[in-house]
Amino acid sequence: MRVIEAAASKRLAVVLIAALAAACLLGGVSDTLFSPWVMAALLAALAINTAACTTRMMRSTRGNGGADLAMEGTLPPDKAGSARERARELLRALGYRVRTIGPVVEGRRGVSARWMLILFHAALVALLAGVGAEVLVRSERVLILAPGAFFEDRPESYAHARDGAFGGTYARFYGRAVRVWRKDGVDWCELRVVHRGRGGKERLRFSRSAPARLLGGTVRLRQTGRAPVLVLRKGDRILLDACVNVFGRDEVPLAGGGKLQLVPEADDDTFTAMLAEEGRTVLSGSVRPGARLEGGGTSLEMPEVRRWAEIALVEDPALEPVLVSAALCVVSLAAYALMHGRSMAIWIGPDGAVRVSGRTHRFNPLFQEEMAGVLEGLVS
Amino acid sequence: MTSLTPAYGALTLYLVAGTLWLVSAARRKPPLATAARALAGVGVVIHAVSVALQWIADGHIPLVSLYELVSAGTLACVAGYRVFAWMHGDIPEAGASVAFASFVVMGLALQTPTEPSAMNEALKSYWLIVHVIFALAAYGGYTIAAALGTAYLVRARQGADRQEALAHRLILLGFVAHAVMVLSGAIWAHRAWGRYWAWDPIEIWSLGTWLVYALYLHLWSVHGWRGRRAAWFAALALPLIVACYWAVPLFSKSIHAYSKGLR
Repeated sequence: MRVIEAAASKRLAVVLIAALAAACLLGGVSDTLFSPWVMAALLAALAINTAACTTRMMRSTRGNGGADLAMEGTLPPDKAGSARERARELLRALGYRVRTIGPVVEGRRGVSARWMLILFHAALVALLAGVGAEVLVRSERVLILAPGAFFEDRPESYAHARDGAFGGTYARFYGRAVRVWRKDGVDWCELRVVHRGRGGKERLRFSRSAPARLLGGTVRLRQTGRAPVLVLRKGDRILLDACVNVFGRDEVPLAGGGKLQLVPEADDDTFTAMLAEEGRTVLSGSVRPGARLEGGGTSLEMPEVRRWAEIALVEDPALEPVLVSAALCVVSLAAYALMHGRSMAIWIGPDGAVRVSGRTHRFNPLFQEEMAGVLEGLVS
Repeated sequence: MTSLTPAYGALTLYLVAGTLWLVSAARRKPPLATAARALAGVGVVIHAVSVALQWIADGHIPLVSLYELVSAGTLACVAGYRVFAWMHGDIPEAGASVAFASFVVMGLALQTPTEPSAMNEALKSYWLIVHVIFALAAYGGYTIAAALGTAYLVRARQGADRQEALAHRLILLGFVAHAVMVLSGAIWAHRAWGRYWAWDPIEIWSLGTWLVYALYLHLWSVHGWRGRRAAWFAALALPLIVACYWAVPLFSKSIHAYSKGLR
């Protein structure tokens, strides 16, 4: 219990929030000022502090928290008889739930506000715990595919596989016949998947911004590229016979010191090729699939252009709990902000004395105005 | 007519309204404040026309470029203050703060590219509307609360407690809207980019400013910060929100589409 009391320090909460805010603001300006470990430590400390504070709030809900306010007046003689009924009417008109206990008319409004605050803090703890769990269980694997190629979805196929990731689901499907194309400036990939475990074929289409669902996770296109197959001959000598991956303005070093520069021309499979030897251009021009470029005893052929796609498969079992916690945070916070929990008690004495007392968990001069209005409504 | 003509018209009216509010506060002349409210109201209508024209030119909701976001944001702030003044009474110092802040921020936004914006694939989502509308609600609430704080610091008038309570309520509602903005942004980011949170500089600053207001709420409720301390906090926290829009993209590369207008 003493540990909870120590961890539930409100001063600590303020210090942690201030430190996190400072870490975010400084880290947002410069990467060098951002430390993931400091952030993780602060978030973990905040989660513990919030959990302890929430526990303490739940224990103190039945206590007498809040601000006590009171004001007094005297009823005119002609209104003393109907004062209690008038008090009930005034409180009901303000939206209070009213009950009468002896000489006291008591009204309550927005009593759930405090519970909403507790719910918000509890959901925040769940959210922070869920984010921590997500770091541990989330897996993302990247696979580079060539169109038309057959591939098997096993760990060895992945460019960056994490050990133990995917929990064995990799064995349940394999895909083939990858297709990559561009439409309206957007790269798309189509992947035919055969599920091994439950059988059946599936055709998945996805892009960078439109992922597809696969085995409880998502599959998304990360990037696409073109790789022309090139055969460069000088007389009877073959200088290059390779599939060259072209990202932008690429230079391919050749045997004998020459360089072949390749620049993609447009959105089709045409490239501008330039062969330089000893600082002078030997061959230059456009080359497209099936065509040949010749000059100076040198020829460049491009039998085909291969496209490739880099896809990412993401599995994130902690995601849904995190989202539910986040949604609960927002909903409970909104409910708390819209509710103003308060209670008012009107005591009417036999001699016409009136005492209006009130309690609110949020200091609010608007509540004092409300109390003054009730008193005014009774005595005037 | 392009959207710029009414935008400059609204900008001028905000400047004049702000000046009238300022003179009204200094000389204690209520008729000038009445004129300021009327001019600000006309400015809001003209500003709304500018946003509508930008919408027509874009062919989609104009909440993409920096200029469009700031234009919608300043419209929300001035319109929000007009509604506030109608419900709770006008405070000339607060009116002047809102009008001058809107004039400066909108004036700066007009120096950035103002041509119709293009929607890329990631922006074509209903989450754009949810995300930006709640961002505007949050920043509108914070701006009016900062204006009330400034008014409190300039002159603590009769009924200052009430003014302070209203500022607190505005920050609380802004805080809720801010939370919805962050959550909807995360859901949208997952749909568009495949991740909920990527520690993008603007994402980090958005979380950081939310935490700053969380600090305000804790200091208010737990440590009893009231009066000038709370007013200073409300007034000084607002520049962080402005910096989140303007300064962060200048220092760091962000994936947020609007930040490209600054580079």
